Amino acid sequence: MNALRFFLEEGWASLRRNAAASVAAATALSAVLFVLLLFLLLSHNVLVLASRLEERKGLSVFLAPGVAPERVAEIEHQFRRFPEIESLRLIGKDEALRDVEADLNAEKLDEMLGGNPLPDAFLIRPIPEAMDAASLERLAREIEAYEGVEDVLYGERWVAALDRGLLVVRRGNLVVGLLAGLGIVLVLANTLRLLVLMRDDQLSVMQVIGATGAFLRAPFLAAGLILCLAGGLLSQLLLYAGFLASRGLMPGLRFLPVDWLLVFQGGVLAVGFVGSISTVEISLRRIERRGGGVGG
Amino acid sequence: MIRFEDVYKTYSSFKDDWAVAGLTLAIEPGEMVFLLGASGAGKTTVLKMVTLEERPSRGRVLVAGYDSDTIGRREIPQLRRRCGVVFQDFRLMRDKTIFENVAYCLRMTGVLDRTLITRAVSRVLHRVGLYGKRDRFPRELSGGEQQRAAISRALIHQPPILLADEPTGNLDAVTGKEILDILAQLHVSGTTIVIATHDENLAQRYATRTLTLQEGRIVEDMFLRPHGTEIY
Repeated sequence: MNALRFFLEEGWASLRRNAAASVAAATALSAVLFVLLLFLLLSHNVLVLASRLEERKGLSVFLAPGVAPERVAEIEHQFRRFPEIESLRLIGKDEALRDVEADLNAEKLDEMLGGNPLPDAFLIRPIPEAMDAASLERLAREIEAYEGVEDVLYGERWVAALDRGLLVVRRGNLVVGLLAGLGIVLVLANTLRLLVLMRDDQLSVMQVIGATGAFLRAPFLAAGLILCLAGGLLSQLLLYAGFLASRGLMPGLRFLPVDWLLVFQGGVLAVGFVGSISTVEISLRRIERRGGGVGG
Repeated sequence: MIRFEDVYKTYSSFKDDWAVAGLTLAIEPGEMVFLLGASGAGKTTVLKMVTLEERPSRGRVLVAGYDSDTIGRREIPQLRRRCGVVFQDFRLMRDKTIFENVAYCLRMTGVLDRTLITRAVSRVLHRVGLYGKRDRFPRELSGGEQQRAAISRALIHQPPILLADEPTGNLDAVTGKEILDILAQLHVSGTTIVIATHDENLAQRYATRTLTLQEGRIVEDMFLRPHGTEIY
């Protein structure tokens, strides 16, 4: 614990010694991370919207007019044995008519139309694994082949469009995440290289008087992590400020959940740790190689 | 304590351009050896090979039980802690006080207990007469005081060997004598001391032995007085 505190203090001291470069690095990091967070915020809201739409995914199976109740019960029994079907509900023609009447705010439509024209129907909700467009189409075709089934509707176009949209969002997240990771490493590499260069002379002395590699590296790793922590928190703060400011314009907008923010900050620290290790390693090896010149 | 066995060292890719050429020598515990020679004679290279800051191109160096041929990367810091090093330009950390400069050396060996650090640092600062200025920064001290601080840093691990590269090079004659008096006291208390200098007068006054280098070779090896004798 003492050692950790010591290295953090040393890391903080080296950042303070080069305050201008450190502030510039933290600002650049927060700018890169802000772009990533903005994309994550967009993704989060698209996913929330998508999950609402997902709830509406399902099949409406219309039965042919005049199918006997025994056959309806038989079909229901057979559908319940489908592994892809999570639940189904039979909406009889009378219930369907009542729904239509309620929607249209009308009464006794069957009398006006000379009878109830609506068929019996099943509303089927597939399991989550079978919610994609291809699985829904396969299931619809299979159901359509049953005797007594007249039509199956599942909104092919919007399901396919939703799937495509979600794929784009996920890929976009990956690309922006990778670019942000690269950005973190580049900013850290430049800053830490500068910090190492500023202490170049002292580091070579410390090597000669017996400092271990770990002792030399640790303060710079600490400095890298402090920068990442500052950059990450600052970008979150900026995003939250932006969110509050734009909430009036986009009332449905949701902020990122806490677990997303924690994973984000953890990811930034992890990338920062790896980036810092490699930068410090390269810079220190350069000092070691340069070592001593020809002396007297 | 220190042995060089037919050691060659080159910094260039040119053939026969040796900074040290075929050096064989043995320095015994308790000696106070002065390496003499003009600039470029190889004095600093010899000191750097003792701490393995520079590796021999050929031959081998044995220091305090470590062998340049077989030493592992992780053992090098341990070897270096057995050799205190004093530089001509002091090389203190500018942003740390004298106390912190010395304490830093202890911390890098994993000693983080404040009481232990205070006790050990105070001891070495008293030894070089700098305890009263422990809270000053290097820029607030004279050259001689900075060199004394550098000596106290070198002593913090109680090394059996102390290497000094032109320790009086940046100091006036009086201050230089003060520094060598401190080193001579350390020698009397049993530390093996190797000093690189071009000042033959100092060597005559303090050394138990002088080694004169020329173009990377020993051209003269003189024992001036039995080691361990009080010489100042």
